[in-house]
Amino acid sequence: MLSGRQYLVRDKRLAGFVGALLILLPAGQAGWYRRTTYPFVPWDMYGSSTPPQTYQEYLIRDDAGPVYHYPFGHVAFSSPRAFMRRLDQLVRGCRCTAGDPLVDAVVEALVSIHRDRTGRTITQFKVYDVQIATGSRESGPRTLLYIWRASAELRHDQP
Amino acid sequence: MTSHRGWQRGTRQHASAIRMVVLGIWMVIVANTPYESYARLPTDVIAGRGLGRLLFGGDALKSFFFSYPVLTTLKWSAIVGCLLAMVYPNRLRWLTPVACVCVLVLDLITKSVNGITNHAQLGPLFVLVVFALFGGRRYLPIIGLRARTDTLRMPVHWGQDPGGTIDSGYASVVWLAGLMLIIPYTYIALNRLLEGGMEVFLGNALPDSITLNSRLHAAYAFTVFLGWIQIPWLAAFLKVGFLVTTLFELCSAGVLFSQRFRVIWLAVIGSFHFITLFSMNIFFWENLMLIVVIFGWGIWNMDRTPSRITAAYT
Repeated sequence: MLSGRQYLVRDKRLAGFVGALLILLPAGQAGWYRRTTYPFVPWDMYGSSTPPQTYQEYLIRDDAGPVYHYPFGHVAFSSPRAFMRRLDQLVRGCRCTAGDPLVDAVVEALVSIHRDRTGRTITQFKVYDVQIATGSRESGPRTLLYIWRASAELRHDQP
Repeated sequence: MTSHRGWQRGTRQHASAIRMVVLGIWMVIVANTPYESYARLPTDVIAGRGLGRLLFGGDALKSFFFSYPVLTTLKWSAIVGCLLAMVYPNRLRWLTPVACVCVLVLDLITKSVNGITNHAQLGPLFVLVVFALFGGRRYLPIIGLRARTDTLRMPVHWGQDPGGTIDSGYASVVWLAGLMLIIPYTYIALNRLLEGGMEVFLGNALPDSITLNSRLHAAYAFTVFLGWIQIPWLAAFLKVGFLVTTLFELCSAGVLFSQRFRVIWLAVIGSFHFITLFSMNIFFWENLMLIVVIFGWGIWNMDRTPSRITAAYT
């Protein structure tokens, strides 16, 4: 900041910009409800001493046969994990393991995107909650949170 | 570009390089994100955040912005806008703010379908805003393309130095772009220290985060650190490294004052970004590119006698 004072003195527009940032950024940082303050949000990264002890797996089965992770990079190139979090919120919000109209609609959108990108049709989409065991190479216990199966109509609707 | 003066910090060439990199970053992000596919998502999933709540607040607006033609138009406008703004920085100088608006709306769309509002891409967004607001009135050469011709064509009022390299007008833009990167690193460190305290570094928070992020599905799929954190001395070393990195993040403003600190800071923060890639499959390649072009530019010139303006900048 100090080394930039000469620019701030010369250019009032620049000074106004920096001044606004100096108010808005700490305000966003201190804001309780970050949904209202974006793009001024808390810059948190590994700031919690108690990180989550579970993570989610989104496993699919398609024409290729074996079960594998849904490639969320196809949907959200820059923030696939943030998109996965949204799906997790929807699955937890429905309090059911299958048949929720909203979750099914999102999964069907993901299925159609996958078909466009790979040419393969997903027949099964499962969401698991997996516990971590720190420092272990093995994954912990898994709990099935949600399952979606393609209807016969969708299965036959292949490109 | 051929003269060593072109590699001095705060020059037109430096500002132009940062501008090219940030426009390139956004072009890659936008081109690789299938925005047109978002038209298939049910609108109930979309939750605008911050400025996005104004754009996607009502059902009608949500349906408009998340329709296939609008998403496709925004995407291609941003890509073409970034590309043309890179190639014609002076002839089409009005294009950078336009590209910036398209990118901002697309970023709000991305955030509105995400489950969390994180700080990813905020650094590149703020740097682009700097060039949209403050880069327009200043002459900028095209790096590696027609740089010599552009220098000859430069109108007198666009630069005070006919030599074509040092101008305090560019130094202020470069300084501001640097500030846009320093702020996130400083806030991240502050947040970590105030929210988590020393427990973040002393307890199992780091091994837990490494375990969780190594297992969570990602495009990179590195798992090598799952084994390494089982080795006690290596786990302790990583925790010390985490604390050192946090302290460097906290002191990021030092890069504006000291060239020597800047070299060490670049080494520490650069290493940090690669370690998070291999340990947690998280790679802020955009930030890495920006810190290299903003703070690494001309770093090998540190033994040369700086000009008056460059000295003031550093």
